[in-house]
Amino acid sequence: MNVFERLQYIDRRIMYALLVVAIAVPLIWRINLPVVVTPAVKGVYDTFEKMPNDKIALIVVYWGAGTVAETGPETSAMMRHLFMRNKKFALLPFDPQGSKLATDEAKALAKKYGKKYGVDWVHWGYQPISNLVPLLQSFPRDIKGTFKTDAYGTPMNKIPMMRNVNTIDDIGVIADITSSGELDTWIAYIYGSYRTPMVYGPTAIIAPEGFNSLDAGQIKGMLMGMKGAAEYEKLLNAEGFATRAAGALSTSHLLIVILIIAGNIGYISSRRRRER
Amino acid sequence: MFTRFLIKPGAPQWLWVLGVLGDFLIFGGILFGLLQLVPVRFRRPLIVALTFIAGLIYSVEFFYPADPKTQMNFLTPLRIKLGEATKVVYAFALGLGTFNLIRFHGGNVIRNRAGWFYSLIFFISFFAMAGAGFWSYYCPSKAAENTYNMLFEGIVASLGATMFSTIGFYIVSAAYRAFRIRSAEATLMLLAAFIVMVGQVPVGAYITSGLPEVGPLRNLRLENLSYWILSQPNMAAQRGIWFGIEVGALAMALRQWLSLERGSFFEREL
Repeated sequence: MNVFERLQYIDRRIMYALLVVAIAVPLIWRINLPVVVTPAVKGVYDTFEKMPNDKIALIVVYWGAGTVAETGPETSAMMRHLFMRNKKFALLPFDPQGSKLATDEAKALAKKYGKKYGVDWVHWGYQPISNLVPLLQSFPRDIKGTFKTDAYGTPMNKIPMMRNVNTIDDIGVIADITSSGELDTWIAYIYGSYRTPMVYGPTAIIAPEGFNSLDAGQIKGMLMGMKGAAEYEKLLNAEGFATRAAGALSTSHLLIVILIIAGNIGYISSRRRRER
Repeated sequence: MFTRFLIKPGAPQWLWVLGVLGDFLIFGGILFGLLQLVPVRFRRPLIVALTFIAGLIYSVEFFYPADPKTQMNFLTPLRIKLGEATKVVYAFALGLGTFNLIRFHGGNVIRNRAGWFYSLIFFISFFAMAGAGFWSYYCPSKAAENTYNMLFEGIVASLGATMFSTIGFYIVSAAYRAFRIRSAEATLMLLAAFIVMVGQVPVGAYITSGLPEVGPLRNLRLENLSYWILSQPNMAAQRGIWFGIEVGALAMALRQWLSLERGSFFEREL
């Protein structure tokens, strides 16, 4: 077996070690690479920009600690955008971990932009995902009757920014940030019935499914994982974690491509030898 | 039921919890007793009828025109109440899950089965996290908050992120072994994967940054090629797959609604 043929049998531990290096090095020593904004990300940005100030955005958090590297920056970028434009939003988490992580991020951003809880943002309280369909059937017609209190037990009608928020007509944009595939349920029960503009923030692995709804106009834009968040940060001109991690994303993808090419060189070499 | 009559609004939370549990035991017991009185041969038609009626409420409510003013029809209030009832049923699943976990891991520890140590860790983790949660919720203090945050951010969140990130290592290994030029189709897939993988990250934009940003040649930039693959061929394939899935789901839903689906429930005598 010659050197080329050996390339198709690289030990997986070597690949793992190379991946660690490929991810760690750009995080320690930053690599500046161009971030190109895709139409899907521009769609998210424009939808929030066009949202009237008398309406609120609803940020749906259906992700946990497992995917925080991708969905965390997406959520953060959207909340940052809303705070920057003095628009209000409500958090609606369907994951107990995501609830805390998103709330902590919202608190940190609110402090940075001088925003107040109850006036500029509100937390509608964690809801079990098994309750999604009954919730989507009832809250559009009666938000206060469905949720009754916020996450801290304050009645909805005592929260300043919720005074004039009663039905889905008072929601300007719904952002579904998720590591799962429940977008179709939102489209079926919310977009299908009320035509509320929706944007999507999935993990990169489930993003290809979103193009279907994007093309149909059911979602106005989409962030494709951490890369999407980096593009969004570029549009906001506000650098965050996603921009810093874009280098690590590039090197790790490049490593995979190099390994695939190496494997194929080995495969072709051994095939030629067999044919001879 | 009884809770609403016996307990006044503003009563302590624990009294409401006790009341609801009492309601559940009394009415659940009555319902269970009544079901036991139903002759065996009527049980199956009863379940079929109840399943059909439950599905009918949702279907008619969805299709029956709503009042333009209230956006509700005559069945909407019932559907909202059913939604609330479903929430209660789901809440009981939490108790059932906890009970099962404790029974399973408790058995492992008591009988000293292989891996009993991991079951012990389950109990320590379970009670530590639950204890910290109750402490910070009912007796808020800096110490309680710090303990909760330490357990959540230091252990739960970190472990969750670690578990998910290990997938990255498997993806590298799997991609290396799977993407081989074995046939024309495999080569096509490899090329598409190559373009999407590189085009999806900033390095892709860097590689083809020499190409113009306007004009026909812009289509050859890796990020544009990648976006085209995702938004055109991928979307068409996804749409085809989803049509199949949704038709299948509709057929399954109909079969369940009309009790045509034969599962373990109907295969034994009730």
